Amino acid sequence: MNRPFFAKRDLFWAALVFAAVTVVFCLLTRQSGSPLVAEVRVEDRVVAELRLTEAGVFTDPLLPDMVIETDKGRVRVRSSGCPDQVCVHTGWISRSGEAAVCLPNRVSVTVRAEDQDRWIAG
Amino acid sequence: MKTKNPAYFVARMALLFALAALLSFLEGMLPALPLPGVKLGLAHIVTMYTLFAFGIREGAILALLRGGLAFFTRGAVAGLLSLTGGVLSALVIFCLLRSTHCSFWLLSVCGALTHNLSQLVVSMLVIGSSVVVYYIPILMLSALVTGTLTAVLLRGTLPALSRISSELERIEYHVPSQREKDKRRDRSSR
Repeated sequence: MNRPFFAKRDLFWAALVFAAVTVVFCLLTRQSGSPLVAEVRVEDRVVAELRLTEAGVFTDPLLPDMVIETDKGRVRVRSSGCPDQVCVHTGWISRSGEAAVCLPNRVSVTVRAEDQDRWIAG
Repeated sequence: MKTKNPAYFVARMALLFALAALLSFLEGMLPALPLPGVKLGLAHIVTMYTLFAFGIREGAILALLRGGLAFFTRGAVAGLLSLTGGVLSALVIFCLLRSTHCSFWLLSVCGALTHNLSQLVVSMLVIGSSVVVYYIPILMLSALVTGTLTAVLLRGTLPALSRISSELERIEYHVPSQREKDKRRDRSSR
C-alpha cells in the first residue's frame, strides 16, 4: 500500500475549502452605514450595548476583572483575569460580525451595526 | 517490535506523549498570532504518526494524554478544547486512513479541519453563544495552512520516527531507501 503525498485531486479539495470559506465569510460580514454598537454578552445574555462613538471604558460586576475599552468605531477587551488572555490578545475589533470572546468567563464582545438586530445578516 | 507486551505499550505511549508534549511546549515559545485558535499544531505530527504506525487505540490514548496535560497546565477550558479536538481529529484521520486512498496531505488537512471546527463547536457550547461562528473562515484557512505544514514536516521526519516502529512499512507509508531515491531520480530525468 503506497500512499501519495499529494495528488492532483487534492487541488479540488483545496478549492472547495476556499469556496466554503468565501461563502461563509460573505454571509457573516455585512457592512452597513449606521453607527456601530458593541454588544457585551455574558452567557449569551446581552448585558450592555456600547456605542462606539468615542473613547470610554466599561466595567460591570457581572464581568469579573474584565475591562472593556471603546473608541471611535472600535472596541477591545483591555484586560481580563482569565488564564488564557485570548480575549485581550484579539485586540481592537471594528467590523460588523467581529468578536472578542473570553471562554473561561463566558463573555463575548461583538460588533454590529445599530440598525441590524443581530450581528449576522439575514 | 513485540506488540503484545504491556510494558512495550506503556513505554511506546510514554515516548510518543513526551514527543507531543515537547512539540507543544516548543510551539508555545514561538510568538503567537493574536487570532484565537490559530496554532501551528506541531504536535499533530506525532498524532498522525501514531495513527499510521500503531492504530486508533494508541491515537486515542495520545489524545487523552494531551488533553490531560492541557487540563493541568493551561486550565479546564484549554483541556476540554484539546481533548475534543484531539480525539475527533484522530477518529477522522483514522477513518480516512482505513477507508480511502487519499493522500498524506489530505489526511493532514482533514485532521486539522476537524480539530479546529470541533473546537469551535465546543467553544460555542462553553460560552453558550453562537458569536464564535465568525471565526469559521479564519479557522478553516488556518487548518489548510497548518495541515500542509504538518504533512510536510511529518514526511520529513518519518525516517527518524520510523525507528519507533518497524511496522510502519507494513501499514501505510513506504519510507524510500537511498537506493530507491536514486533510482527514482534517474527514472525521472531520463
